[in-house]
Amino acid sequence: MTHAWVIAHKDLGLLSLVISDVPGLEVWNRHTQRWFPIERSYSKPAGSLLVGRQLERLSNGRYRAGHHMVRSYPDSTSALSQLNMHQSSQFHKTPQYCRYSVVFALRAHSPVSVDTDNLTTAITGQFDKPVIGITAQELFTEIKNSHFNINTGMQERNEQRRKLAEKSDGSSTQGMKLRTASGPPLPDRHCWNVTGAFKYRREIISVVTLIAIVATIAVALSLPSLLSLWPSPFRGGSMSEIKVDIPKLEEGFLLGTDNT
Amino acid sequence: MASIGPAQMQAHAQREQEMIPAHALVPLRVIDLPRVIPCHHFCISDQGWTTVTFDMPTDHLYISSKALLQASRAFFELSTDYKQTFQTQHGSMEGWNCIKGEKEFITLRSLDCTPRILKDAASAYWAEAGGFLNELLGRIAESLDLPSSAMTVYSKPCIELGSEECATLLRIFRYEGSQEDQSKIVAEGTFERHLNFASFPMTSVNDSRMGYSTQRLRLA
Repeated sequence: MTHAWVIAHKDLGLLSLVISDVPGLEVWNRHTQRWFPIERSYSKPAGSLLVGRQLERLSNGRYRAGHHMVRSYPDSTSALSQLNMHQSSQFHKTPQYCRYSVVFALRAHSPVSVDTDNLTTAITGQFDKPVIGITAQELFTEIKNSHFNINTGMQERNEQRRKLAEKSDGSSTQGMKLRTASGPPLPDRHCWNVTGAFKYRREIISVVTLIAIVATIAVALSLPSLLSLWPSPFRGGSMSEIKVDIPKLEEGFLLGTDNT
Repeated sequence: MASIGPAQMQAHAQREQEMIPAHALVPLRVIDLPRVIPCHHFCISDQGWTTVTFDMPTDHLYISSKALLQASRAFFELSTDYKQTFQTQHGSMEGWNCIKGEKEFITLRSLDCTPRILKDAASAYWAEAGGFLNELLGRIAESLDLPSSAMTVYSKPCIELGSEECATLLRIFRYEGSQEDQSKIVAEGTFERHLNFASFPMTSVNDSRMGYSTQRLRLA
């Protein structure tokens, strides 16, 4: 089992194909709410396909963009390394193990115009974020400007994060020439229902943990008095002592509850 | 490529239909996807990722990827001075980049800016991967009840590594290994304006089960 602080990311384009010599790619399973080490699941050479944000937009969310990240595992010995590289002698001679990965990112050809009216079917439904009269390049820019680039240096990345956080506090304009959807608002299929839970996950975990601790203490403290209710040769103290103890326990429990 | 019979397709289509709640949207059309086995189809739309299964051992996509991985290793072994000649004003969008302590990578967008040591392997792989994803995108369009050209119009101009730069790119990474006992993140994520994912402690379990099985659990 491994632990990490994680923020997921999605690719910007249409489709990405990832082929690696050593496992490292992990994808977010939205049903189990866990990272799935997809490359570690391969028992024979395989690639991983990721849906990007452009396709998500062009399919009106019927194809969700896939959250993923890359993890460096401490155990460098890898079945996938042998599977995808076979006689990679130079690799094995390298003192510090490295992971090599090839990512083919298919993106919409820049000059092609985008019109979601032409992509609307009974299956896509009415587009939540219709796009009309812009080029694929402009759509890409709009998507790109909403995210920081993970392939820049750490300092620049943090600066991008800060600016985007500032923007997020302001209005969530769609920008560009994105047409406002007519009619009643549709359910947001792009919305991941778990977002709220993710956002407050730490707080939720803290509260639940605190409640569990307080409950445990309360039970532990009340155990002698509970035992005293039973006729037992192991029970110590008198009834008068018990009467004194009970209010103390209640007070302590209430204080703990207030603190949460 | 993994081939399946009509009966299998039909059975899988029926299973997918059964998995979709009654209140859900109109289901996607069931289309045969190249190099994606039927039980992995649903994952593409539902999760945004899936496994690409090679037709071993003769799959040209696999063979060309293997050659490119070999060539990449040779490239990254070259001196930093040489690799720096492939740095461009476009930053991470094109050319060689290095993020110390994390990774180095080269982004290829045109043949002219591709190091000689990578040219042949990159061209071959680009043709295979570009052709594959272009075909896949066409099938995805069909699953939405669109003609394949509705989507491939965006991808077709990019399926060859040419002399002119295009939106599509090929990025080759060398990630630094972890020297610590625990794993570390070497490609963290994006901050999303409309999807405010906060940092949270996450546990990943080395689970040998494929993520796909969870769909069935959810809908069971």
